Amino acid sequence: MTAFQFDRPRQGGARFHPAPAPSAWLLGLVLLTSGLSGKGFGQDRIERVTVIGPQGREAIPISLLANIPMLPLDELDRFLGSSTETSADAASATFSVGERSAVVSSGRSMVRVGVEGKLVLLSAPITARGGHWFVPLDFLKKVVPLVSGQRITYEEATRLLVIGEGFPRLTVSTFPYPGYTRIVLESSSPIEYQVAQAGDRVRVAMPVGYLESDFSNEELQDGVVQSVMLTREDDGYALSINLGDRFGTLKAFQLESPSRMVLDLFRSRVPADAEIIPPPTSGMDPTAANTIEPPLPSRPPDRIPPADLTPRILRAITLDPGHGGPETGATGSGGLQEKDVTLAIARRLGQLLETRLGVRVLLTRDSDTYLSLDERTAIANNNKSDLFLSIHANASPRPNASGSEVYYLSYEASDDESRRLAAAENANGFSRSVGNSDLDFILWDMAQAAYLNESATLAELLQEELQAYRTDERNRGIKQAPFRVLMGATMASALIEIGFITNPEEEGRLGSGDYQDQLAQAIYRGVVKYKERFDRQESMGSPLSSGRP
Amino acid sequence: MSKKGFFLAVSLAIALIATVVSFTFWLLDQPIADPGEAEMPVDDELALPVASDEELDDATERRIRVTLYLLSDSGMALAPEDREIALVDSVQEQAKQVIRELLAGSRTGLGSPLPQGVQLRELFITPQGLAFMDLSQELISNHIGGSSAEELTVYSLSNTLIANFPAVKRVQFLVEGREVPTLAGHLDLTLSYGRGPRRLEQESTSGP
Repeated sequence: MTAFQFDRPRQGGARFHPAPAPSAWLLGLVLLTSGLSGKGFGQDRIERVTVIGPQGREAIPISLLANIPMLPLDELDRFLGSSTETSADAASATFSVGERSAVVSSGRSMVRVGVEGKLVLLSAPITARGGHWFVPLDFLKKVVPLVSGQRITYEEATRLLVIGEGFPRLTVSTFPYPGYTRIVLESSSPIEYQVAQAGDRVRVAMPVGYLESDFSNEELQDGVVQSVMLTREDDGYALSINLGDRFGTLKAFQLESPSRMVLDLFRSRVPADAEIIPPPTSGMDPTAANTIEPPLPSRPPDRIPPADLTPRILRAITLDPGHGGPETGATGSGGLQEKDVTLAIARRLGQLLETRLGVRVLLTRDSDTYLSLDERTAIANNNKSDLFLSIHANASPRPNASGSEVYYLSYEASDDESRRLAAAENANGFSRSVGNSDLDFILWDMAQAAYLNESATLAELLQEELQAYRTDERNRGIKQAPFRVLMGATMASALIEIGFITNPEEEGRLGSGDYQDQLAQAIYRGVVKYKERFDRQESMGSPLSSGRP
Repeated sequence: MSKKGFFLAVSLAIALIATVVSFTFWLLDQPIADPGEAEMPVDDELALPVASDEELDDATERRIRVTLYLLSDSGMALAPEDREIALVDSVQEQAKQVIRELLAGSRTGLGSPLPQGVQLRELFITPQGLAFMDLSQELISNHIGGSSAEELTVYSLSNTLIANFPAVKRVQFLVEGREVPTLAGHLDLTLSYGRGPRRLEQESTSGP
């Protein structure tokens, strides 16, 4: 396979490398285009207009007529899908796209646009020469947007004409972490990603007409991923990931704004050179062969992760009653304190889970004591819980706000941008003078990121149950936020806001034992459904995922 | 050695000329306070342009329209409120003015997602677009609690700054000059915050 050309041959095979920042990107463009002109100094600063459209990037050469930069209209037609027709007497021409048109006349600066004949004054007279019509560059800004049905952006400084939204720019980043390798595809505008795994290869197809990237291939050789390569295909582009011997499972999830596809390729739990574990020959779930990670024919039996052999079951749950001690949390107008309600519900829920679901339940606090957020997460991690639920009551400055919500961790606000900025500040002498180092931060951040899909599923199941029970409340759906208590959890986790303590009516209900029982039951039902899914998925040896993209 | 000496001499000469020139300009500037030329003092009272009689007409004209993110009637989302404030020449000073306007609350009857009595202590914007916003301890001690209210507080501040100042990409909050783990026990305030999720800007039309 050959690396594809990012530019068309027209531009002499030169490649354009986008820099991360738009300003640098534009600067690069200026440098590139001026470099391409190759005529040295004293010439016009840029001798061409660069057109960026859905089909790619091309340049229209500028002609100097009487020392004024002009563009041939027929060149423009190729990109805009417009047509230029000269009148019978050759004194004027009609430039049109579909129903819309503009009439240009030789030797005149005035352009008549549309049927109503709106007059647009250009900076220089239009010239007809050799059967071609030449227009000054401000035609792009003043006339083209009126005639073209598409969105047109023209930047005078860089002589850059963008038709429509332009084309997406793709960046590919690889992060070889100890337990897994993360590959992130980020696109400047939303594109479709189709992830498929076959044999020793994972393929991400991107069915777009054109995209730009400075990535072509990368050798990782970290055991999990051998190499990554971006190629041009008949129906778009594809990122091919060649898997290594140590590859175990793949988890893929999509994030928005900016549009990203994150692929986590986990290391198998058995090293390739370890003793051969006999593959299970009987008693195995027959459906296992059809799951996301089937034992592939090309793969030796020693690479089947042990999860296939020893199904894991959701056994331990940590419940975290929000706030406590001097930190009371929110308080209702009737005096009810959040820390008391959360403890009461956590106790009731814990009892249900232990006696009816048979799981081990741990409360981060079973009395009115203060615990830091990090301590709460640490308790869940140290006890190897399979699930972490933080229980809270909500508050709003408006007493009418009501309803329950379920949150799971937002990777968004804790994402690369935040970290990149922090790194940039550090590099510039601004340091984050905090107790937790950047390394801690990254490790904690990563911890929960690996469980994001499970947490989303959990949040959804919990919300469904709370909703089914509380039909009088408006559906607020599941939400994401960068909650500190969820950040470092190495398991699926969610934070439940059981209701608004600042709403007098809800406060009254939240204080009653009956209502607390009912809420605990609703959460319990959500956990039961989650466990069903968790156990089934785990027994098939693949991570739980919501099954949605 | 002689090269070093030469550079030293040139630097000293430039510094001397610069001092003389700026002192002359300073003398010339004395009768009329010009906020554009002067380095902005940190103290907030002094930061406001002092308008002399001649300048008063001019000063009333120099205003800009800003958008503040306050509380919607539902208490679950942010609601924009536009107002005109005095134009200041430095982005940093202007940003401080905008945050002080936000802290002062609505003029059109909207609620405030910010706790009572919060003061802006300091604000500075790095060239990378990270704004450090240092607020007084009331941000924590007077907060009513709850995930929703906490989100509204944080994003009211960050959205207001980001919406009005393209130079600001994200906001890092400090309380009494220090980084804090959280505001009301939910959000991680050691992280910087960008523009809030869309759900906080859209008013839910369903429900009672």
